[in-house]
Amino acid sequence: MSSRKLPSGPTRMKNRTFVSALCLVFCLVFVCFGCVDIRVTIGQRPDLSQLDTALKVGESSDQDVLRILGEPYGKGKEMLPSSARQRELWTYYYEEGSFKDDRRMFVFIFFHEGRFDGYMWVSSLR
Amino acid sequence: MTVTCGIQASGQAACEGRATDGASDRFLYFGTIILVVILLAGCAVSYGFTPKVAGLKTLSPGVSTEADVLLVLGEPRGKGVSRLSPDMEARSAWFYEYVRGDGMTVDVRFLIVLFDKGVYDGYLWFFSDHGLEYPFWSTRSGGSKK
Repeated sequence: MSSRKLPSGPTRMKNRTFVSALCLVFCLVFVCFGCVDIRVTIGQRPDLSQLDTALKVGESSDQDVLRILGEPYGKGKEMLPSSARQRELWTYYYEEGSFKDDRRMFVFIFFHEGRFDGYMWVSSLR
Repeated sequence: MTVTCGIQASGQAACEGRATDGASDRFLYFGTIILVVILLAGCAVSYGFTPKVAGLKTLSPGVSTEADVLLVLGEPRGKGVSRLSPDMEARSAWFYEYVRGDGMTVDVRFLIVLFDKGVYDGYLWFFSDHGLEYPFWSTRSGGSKK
């Protein structure tokens, strides 16, 4: 009957390092050959089809906007030269990306005295 | 194998994995952590192309057409709509973007071109030429990388 000795501390450490390095190499190979796709999203994508259907510029309230588009990503104020007055501004931001591509959407909603007063959005999402 | 991570407006982050090839969840999450570390460690990625804002001076508001804009600025990466007030009609917008990140900083370059009934009507652009530091990576409070 043969007795096998357990690996000593330093040997166990070397084995662990080897396994970790092996995992790292596997991960790199997976990434390089497109086997793993990490997708990252930021924010919630608002449903822009509702902007001119469920919502009416000059009529809908900020509560209507909140109900239809959801909680804004941020808030601010706007007074561009084209504006006759200072207005409240809600911003929505959504981004989705992976190793291969990264795209986003900006939505700006303007309010005057609690009324939906205009909007601007741009999107590179497919 | 697909891993989806999301960051909500509240700042909460979450990931969920779906193993399509029978791999164990443990390996999937372990791999995800490794990959994120690799990505953050210095792999530079970029998307889109730098908007050619120098060409804007050759365009004339109220005169230049969509074809002129296409010729000068190239194909937009996205589009949009603006209706800035109740008494305005909805107008189309073209969206140009360039994003570059190297794990430590991210540069963004955005250009929005506005049209009125198919005629060039104005623009808005902003670049971050010095690299915005990822807030979760910064050890300083509130400073941007120079």
